[in-house]
Amino acid sequence: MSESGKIIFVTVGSTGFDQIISLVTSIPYLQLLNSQGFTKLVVQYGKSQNAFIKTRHNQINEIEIIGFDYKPSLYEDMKNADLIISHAGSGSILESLRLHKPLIVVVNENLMDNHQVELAIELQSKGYLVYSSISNFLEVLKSCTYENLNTFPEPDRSLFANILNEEMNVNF
Amino acid sequence: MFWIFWILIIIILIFLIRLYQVLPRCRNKSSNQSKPPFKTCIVLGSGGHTMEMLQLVEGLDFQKIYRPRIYVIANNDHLSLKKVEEFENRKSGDNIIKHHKVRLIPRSRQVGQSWLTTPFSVFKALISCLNLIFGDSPDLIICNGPGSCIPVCVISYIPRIIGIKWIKLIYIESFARVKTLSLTGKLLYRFVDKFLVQWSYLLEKYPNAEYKGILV
Repeated sequence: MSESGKIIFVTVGSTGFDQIISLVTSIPYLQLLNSQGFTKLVVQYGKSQNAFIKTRHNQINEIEIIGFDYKPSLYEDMKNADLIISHAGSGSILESLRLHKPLIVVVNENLMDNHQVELAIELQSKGYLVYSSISNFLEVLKSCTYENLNTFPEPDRSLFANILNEEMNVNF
Repeated sequence: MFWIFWILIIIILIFLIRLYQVLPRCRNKSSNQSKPPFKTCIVLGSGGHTMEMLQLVEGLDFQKIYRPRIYVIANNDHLSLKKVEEFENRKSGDNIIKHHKVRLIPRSRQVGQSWLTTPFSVFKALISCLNLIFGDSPDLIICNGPGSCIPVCVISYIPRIIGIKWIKLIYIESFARVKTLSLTGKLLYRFVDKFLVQWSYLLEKYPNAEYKGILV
């Protein structure tokens, strides 16, 4: 399998997440990405612009780095990516899984919203994503466990319609 | 002056008895005799809630059954407004006749708003919901958890208690809620006609909820 030109996309959602932004733009991390065949790093940094700018001098020749704060839709960036690193927001998680992209969810312990962790852990136990904390993120990335994830089932668009039709006594 | 006190007690008692009578579990399901089309009110919230809601209603028959549609949006949520127009345009295809409208309601409480001014903003939100419930008179309300569900559902109980119209309330808890309900979910649990969750763990604590799998 040719590994040339792989893209990694990092998204922190509507808030910021300085730790993950600093981490993904650090030299050891960029070298690891390079060794795994990535050539492009795209970062949606939200409110963590300072963290992103601070590390802009961290460059290695082999990896192109692109960053932006927000976009109306991240669909294109997600679609083009070979690996997605996301915060634990349910919207980003669902969008990534629906695109069948390998996904590592990093939980922001500063924003510790318990139910977000529950969702990430539950989806990890079913093998749909890899869940990581900041401290073990490099190990998770090194281990490549994200390459062997289960495919998230396709949505059944008629499911809710059938439930509602039954509730409303609609005859077919 | 003592009789005013007793009248108040009696009014409150009548209200509570009537409220008890109109709670969802006390009603025979087959008594719903109304026929489609159903005027459908869809309550949107910001970000994740809007995305999930539009995915939920994607599969509904908008042409024959669920029309017209009234989307409820917080009055400063421009992104949801844009998403609704895109969604309706895509779903209606070549059909030129518009079967939907948008109603903007003020937020009950802004993030960081002082608690002192909150009663006023709640009041404004409730007034705006009166316009929705009595002006548009929907047959059905679908909501999935943003704070604006609360005033909409509260006001929808007025015609139900008076006995003029039973507006059906459908609540879908967010995909994000695996083991605990959102605050809105906890508040509305006993009052909606159908309470759907997307993770089976929630059935242990909330036996009246229904689980049919992931819906988004």
